[in-house]
Amino acid sequence: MHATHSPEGLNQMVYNRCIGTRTCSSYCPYKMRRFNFFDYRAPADSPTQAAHNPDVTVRSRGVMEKCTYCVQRIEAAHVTADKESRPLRDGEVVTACQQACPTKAIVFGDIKDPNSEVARLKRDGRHYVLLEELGTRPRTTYLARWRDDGSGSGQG
Amino acid sequence: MSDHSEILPRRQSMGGIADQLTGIPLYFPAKRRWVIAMTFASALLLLLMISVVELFTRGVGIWGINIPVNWAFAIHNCVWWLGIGHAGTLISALLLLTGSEWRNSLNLFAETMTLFAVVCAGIYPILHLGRPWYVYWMFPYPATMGVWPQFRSPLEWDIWAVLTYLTVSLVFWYTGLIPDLAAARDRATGRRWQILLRSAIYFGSGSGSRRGSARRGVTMPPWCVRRQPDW
Repeated sequence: MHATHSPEGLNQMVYNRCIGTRTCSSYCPYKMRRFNFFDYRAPADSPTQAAHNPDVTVRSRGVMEKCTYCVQRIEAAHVTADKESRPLRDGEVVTACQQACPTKAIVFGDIKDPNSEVARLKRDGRHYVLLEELGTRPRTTYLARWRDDGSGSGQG
Repeated sequence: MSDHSEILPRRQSMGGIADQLTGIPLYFPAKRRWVIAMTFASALLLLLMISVVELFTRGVGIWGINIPVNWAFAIHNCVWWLGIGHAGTLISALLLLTGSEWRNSLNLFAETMTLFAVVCAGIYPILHLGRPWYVYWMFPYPATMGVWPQFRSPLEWDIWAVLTYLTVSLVFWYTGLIPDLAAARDRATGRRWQILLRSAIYFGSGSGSRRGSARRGVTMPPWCVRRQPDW
């Protein structure tokens, strides 16, 4: 019901305001949103779970959600950087998917900083934007896969 | 005003047919059949109630919907009832447009169908919500939290569409009902019923004047025009 963009460009949701009409999902051109059709908290908001996972609100039944770009990790990095009175370093924030990816296919960083790794990759010839023609300007973009031409040179 | 109408049998007086009509609710002719039909309908209502309890307890996932088609069952249930409602309005409107003089009873039946179908459709915007207990957030009330309805959401449109449709149908239905209320009033014996029915008619006749209602000859069946307001 109430989605907005943070100053850093994250598409954010106010979970408390979601009444679960599922309109945003129906409108989503990427169909990336996921809905809590049932109550998946088991047991619901137990103290143990809250202790092990203090940064992430576990969404209740009837609430839409989507990738937050691990906002809790971004915030933690901000806190560290602020304590040390310095700006965030490129690569300082590692998202959970990035951390878990076995082939290191995921890069996360400040796309407005021209020197960041992610900005460098966005200048790559293989870079493309899904549904770019719709003008959705998504934060997540992709690199086209390499296709081996069979020459064994290692060049595409 | 003639005591006979072109659409009634020659021997049937207008007061006579009004007697017949009011006799149906007053001296119920088919109790047994009514009980059977009512039992069946109540069983279906009970099924609805059980389903709603299940829905509110477990969530909309019980419909088997999922991303990306996350309305499916929900939307066709609402539109099913709206469709039935539209049928009633259409029948009523077509009979009016074709100027069918005999339309009154059918119109009233069709509009009653519309009214109840819209009420049925109206519960779906609540049942469809992931968190139905927050349904009141769909109304633009001055909330201290600053919550305001999302007017780009079709479920929000449902609320307003259903409310508008309900209001208009209610007015149609009531207008057509005035002659029957008048017939009932003329035969009411209890003082309370007389007052109640009179108020109901007075409410619909606007200024409450004896004359000047252009609608009189149009919407009201002739047998009621004869016995129009005598207050």
